[in-house]
Amino acid sequence: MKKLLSFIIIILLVSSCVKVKDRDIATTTDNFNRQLILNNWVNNLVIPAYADFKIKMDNLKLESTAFVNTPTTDTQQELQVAMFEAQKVWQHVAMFELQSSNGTRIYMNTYPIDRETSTNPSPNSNEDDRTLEANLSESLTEINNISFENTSGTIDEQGFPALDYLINKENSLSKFTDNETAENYKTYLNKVVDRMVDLTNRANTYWTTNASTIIANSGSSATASFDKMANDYINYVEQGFRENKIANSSGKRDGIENILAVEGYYSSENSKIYFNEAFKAVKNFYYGTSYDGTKTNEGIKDYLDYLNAEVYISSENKDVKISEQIDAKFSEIENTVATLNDDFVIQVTEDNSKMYNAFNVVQEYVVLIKTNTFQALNVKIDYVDSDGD
Amino acid sequence: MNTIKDYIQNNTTKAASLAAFRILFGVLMLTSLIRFVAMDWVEQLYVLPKWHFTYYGFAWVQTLGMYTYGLFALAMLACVGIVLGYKYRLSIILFFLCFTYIELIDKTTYLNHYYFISVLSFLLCFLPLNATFSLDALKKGIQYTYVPKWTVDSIKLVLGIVYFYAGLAKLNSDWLLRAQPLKIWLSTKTDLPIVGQFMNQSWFHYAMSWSGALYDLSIPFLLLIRKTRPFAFVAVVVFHVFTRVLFNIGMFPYIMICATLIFFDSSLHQKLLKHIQKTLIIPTNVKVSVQENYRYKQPKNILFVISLFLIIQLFLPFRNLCYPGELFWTEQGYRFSWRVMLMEKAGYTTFTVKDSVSGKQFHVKNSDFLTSFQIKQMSFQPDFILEYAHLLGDHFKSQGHQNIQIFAESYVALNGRLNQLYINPKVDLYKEEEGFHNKTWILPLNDEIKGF
Repeated sequence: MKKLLSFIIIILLVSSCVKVKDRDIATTTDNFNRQLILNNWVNNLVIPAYADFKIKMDNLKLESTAFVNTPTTDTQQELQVAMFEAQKVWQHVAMFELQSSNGTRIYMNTYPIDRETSTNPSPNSNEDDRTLEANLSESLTEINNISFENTSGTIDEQGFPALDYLINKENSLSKFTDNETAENYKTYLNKVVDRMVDLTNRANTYWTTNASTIIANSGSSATASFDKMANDYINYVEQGFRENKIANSSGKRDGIENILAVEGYYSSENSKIYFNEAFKAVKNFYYGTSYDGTKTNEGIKDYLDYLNAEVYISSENKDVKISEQIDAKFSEIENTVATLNDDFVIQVTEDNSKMYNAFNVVQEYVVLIKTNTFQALNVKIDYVDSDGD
Repeated sequence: MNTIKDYIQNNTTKAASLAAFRILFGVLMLTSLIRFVAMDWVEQLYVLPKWHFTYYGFAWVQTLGMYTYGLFALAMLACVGIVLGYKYRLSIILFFLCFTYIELIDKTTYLNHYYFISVLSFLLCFLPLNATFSLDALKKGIQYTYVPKWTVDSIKLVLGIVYFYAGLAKLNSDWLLRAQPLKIWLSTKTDLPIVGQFMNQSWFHYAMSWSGALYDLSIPFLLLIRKTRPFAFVAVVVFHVFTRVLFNIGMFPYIMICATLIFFDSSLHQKLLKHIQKTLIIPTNVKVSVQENYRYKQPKNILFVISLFLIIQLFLPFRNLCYPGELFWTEQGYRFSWRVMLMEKAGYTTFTVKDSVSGKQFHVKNSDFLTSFQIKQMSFQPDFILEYAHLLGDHFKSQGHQNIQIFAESYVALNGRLNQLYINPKVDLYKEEEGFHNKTWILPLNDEIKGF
């Protein structure tokens, strides 16, 4: 019996060691999946995209300074182009949120301006530009005192939507030339652009300095990089992509069409371009395609195929590869979006049902990722690593 | 009848078995509670969430907020009492109440092994685990050598039920013929040393599924038979250690390994006690009068309660037979029935609040009300979905909304099947009531799972 007891003790000790060892190994020699994917994501998607975004934002700052110094149609146009270029690249970094617990996205691109952000009954019903306009009509000191750092209150009076309002709205040039409004508009514009440059620099620095740490944290847990980035990704597809770009303006959720909620409302001729850039980023992350589009390395697709991940379709009594299902969803999204007008304001006004169609196909992708795909990859979708059965 | 009477009245076994069990149980529970607090789970599971999902009939069990820590402290104190055998009856009752209360606060955290602890500690309230090797015996000056054999056997029966029923539940087509959900769970574990290479291979998934079912079904019997017992215990240790390495299941493997020691001969338990005595240098020459047999003061009442309890334990797991539809899909009768590790289920469920008169509607952002863990659990369990719909309805009503209707859009994927619509999106869940009746608003699974 003594033997048996010592046997138990040895086994228990060994088992606790094995567990510890297993954690070590998970972070060092996970030879296919997570480490390689993380490396690809960080080095070929995030960092080059942020580097390019920083270039575009620096240029935006230059053009906005030029415009503030001499507001003319020419400088305004150049600023508008700079903004358009920046907002296009923005679509490629919007999903990466590791850098800030409060999020960068909500400060950069919450639209429409003056939007209620929490669950709020009929949140779209009383949106307008009033708060932003009120800000602009305050005294210079008060404008200078506005803090853009709050998590609530000011998130929709800054970033791209505010910039769009300031420089793309009808007659906006006159606001910068008219003595009554010029000082306020110039000050506010500077404030908005500086804030965006600041957010960009912070995020860019975060990713370049922490790249190796992020890649090294390649285990499987709620706090591992893979799980966190995958969660940020799907959050983006849900909130930044599906809700913001399609659902809000079409009124999919509340039955109330709201053209003000189209991304870049005052330059809405670009709205489909932004959508397609974002869609490209959504696909890049999944396939592991680099930001410049030149190479495709390890991504979620390779991981799924490596695991032989399949779903059983009972009506056809067969197993189908999850990656094939996802390919099909992507082409459905592509085909549906191809039918949309380049200007989503026109699309919502003229034939909103097509926006609903677009919503539905994106929704199918979200569901497929959040259920079957995350199951197959063992992605933890909650932030507590509690025990299972 | 006479043999039963004889068994109850005259069959005895060494009290040392119960004492050894008491000490192991107390130490493991204390460790579990400390671990729970150290992991910050009290904060994340009981303090931070705005809303909690309650058990039907136990909605009155509310979180105590920060005072939940007090509940844990009380349970830990009770564990110390259990280990020492000091005011044992009070300690074990206190432990049972505190532990069960904590579990009842929020069914998001439901685990079969937590339920097992509640069941076991309830039983232990009625057994003389302090008959020997306890401060109670020392204080009273009496310790007993023997206790009725049924006291030890009832613990064995509870353990046997857990294993055997878990085995029965594995006899279904998903587990045996599709090797699900093990296929999903094991596939990502290729980075484990030595066994990692097999983790993504089909034969391994089937081998694990079949041997797991066989293990659960046979282990209670192999533990009962003296000849197979050492072999069975090795199997217990190997099985649980393996599950510990593969899955995130906390203390459960250790608890089961220690609990199955009860099946051994009392000589082992005596040796264990002696060993403890030696290592802790507990004096042996204290003045305690030794008596032969422990006798219950009111054996009939105790036996009645325990028999009733065991009968409930035998039949409760089969209550799913009262409901139509796939058990894994509808989960009607799924909990409290030792269905362990049978499902890999994930859902995506969102809600729309509608004014039935004006037609105005809006979408609910789940993260405004629930933690990510709660959202995950809510998304594939119908009773959660219904309770959440009511919480939402009541919340928006209190904000002044009228004619509220709540609709769910829900997709669920079960055991490697492609996700499908889960809840009838046309049903106003705010009008549906929780109860023991069949939930007709759950859409049927487009497939059939054969077996238990």
